[in-house]
Amino acid sequence: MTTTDREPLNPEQLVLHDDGAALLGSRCPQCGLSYFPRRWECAVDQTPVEDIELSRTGVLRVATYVSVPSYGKNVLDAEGYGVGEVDLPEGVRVQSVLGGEPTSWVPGTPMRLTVHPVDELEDGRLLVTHQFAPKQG
Amino acid sequence: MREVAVVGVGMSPFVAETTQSLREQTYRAGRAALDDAGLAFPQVQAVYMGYLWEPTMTGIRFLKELGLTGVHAQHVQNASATGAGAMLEAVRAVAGGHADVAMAIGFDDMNKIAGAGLSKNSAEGVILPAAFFALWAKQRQLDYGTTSETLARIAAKNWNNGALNPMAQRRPTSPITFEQILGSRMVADPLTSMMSAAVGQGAAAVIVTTPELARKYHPGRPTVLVKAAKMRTETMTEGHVFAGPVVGPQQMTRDTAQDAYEQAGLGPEDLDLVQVHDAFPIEELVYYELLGICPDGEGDKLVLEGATELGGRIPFSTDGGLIGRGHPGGPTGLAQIWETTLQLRGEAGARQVADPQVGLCHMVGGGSVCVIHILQRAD
Ligand SMILES: [Zn+2]
Repeated sequence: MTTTDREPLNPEQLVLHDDGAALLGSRCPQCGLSYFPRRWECAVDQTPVEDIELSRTGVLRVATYVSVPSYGKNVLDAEGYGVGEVDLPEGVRVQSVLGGEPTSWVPGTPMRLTVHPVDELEDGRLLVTHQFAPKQG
Repeated sequence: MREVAVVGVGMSPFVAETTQSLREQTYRAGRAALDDAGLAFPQVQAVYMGYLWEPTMTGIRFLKELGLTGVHAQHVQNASATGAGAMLEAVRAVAGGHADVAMAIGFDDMNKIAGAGLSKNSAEGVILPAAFFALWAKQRQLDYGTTSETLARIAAKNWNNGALNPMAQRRPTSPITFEQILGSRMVADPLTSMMSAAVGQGAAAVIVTTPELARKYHPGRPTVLVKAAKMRTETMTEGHVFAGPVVGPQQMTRDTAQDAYEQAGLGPEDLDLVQVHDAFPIEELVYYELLGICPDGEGDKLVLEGATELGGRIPFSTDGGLIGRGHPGGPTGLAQIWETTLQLRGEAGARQVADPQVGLCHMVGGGSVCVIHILQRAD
């Protein structure tokens, strides 16, 4: 699958490169805090922030398995789905749907950013959003 | 700042469904609060109306059922904390001298949340409250070894408190056991369907005034003073999550409670009963600690000792809480004030706490905000 097959659901939060997806964040040059999603000023010292792409890997902090449909859906796509929090090296914590096997969602597990389709556009391309899955190997 | 007292409270029962219109439920709650206060609507000088899931203008339209007096009236909206926020504005109106009598009134039907403009795609990345609070529970298991049984015991307590409240949505006819709670359908591990807030509709209203006027209207009835009315939004914390969280860091409740205790000149040791935003039992468990009832990590022990049950050292969610009494949205925080006022007056019937002097009401609202009121009985 190449980037031309897919479109980010939210281009303000997610960019699709040929070598993988990345979350779009910000970094404060004054205090060094990083943020997701992007913002204009640091939330602590109001300094204008710089755009960054966040690390594509992190560590799973906590996870749950959800057995009811998410907002806007009346039925489950599958039996259920995982939701968790992933800590990125920049100090940013991201809440996300989880990919991979539920048995692998153990706190402390290294995770990698991936994408999953949420809809299909009229031209056949897939609309995708971010998720994290256990890093292989 | 002037002192403020609750002079009237009223509710329309919280129910899963009813043929009664929301307009009528709202009218009946407002009428009940006026009757309880012994006031006529023309004496009300400011109204704050809270709801989430009805179209714009609905509150002002419903208000006409109580009379056309030209009264100052504002809509207040703050997610789950909408009713608590309306209460806070009514208190501030009286405290600031802008009104001698102010009303907060809330109504809603939480079943309409699904139609609240969340399309399939706009909802992606927004995790369900159940999933969000399941993450709190999972984190708590890691930090303190909390068991599902502890969570189920809190939920069972609130179901059984609801059975004693004529306004509660869930009124089980026989006692609910923690085993039944554990055995119900899994929603988001470890939270089950019977651990989830009761989703329904209803209305509630509160009227506040000065203590002098409250005593004048009701000589001989205990006066219920509003000793603290405080709200906060989030402050930056380590690992702060900006995208998607239902509510912000737990620190927000701790900080708001600190503000409220300072304003009241009271501490957690002075509380005789507490209402919290127990959409799931994990919330009530962590609020024991964030409100200062016990040290961090010792909330589980309170549950196993029965300290937060009716008859325990510090009863929580005496009217059933969000789990038992229900959580329509707009009126939820006002139902907490209704319950605490009745308790402090000694009018809470089968669920009456023995001679309470001080009660605390806590709500969080998505976005997020925290609102805390402390009420105290003054004879
Ligand atoms: Zn900064």
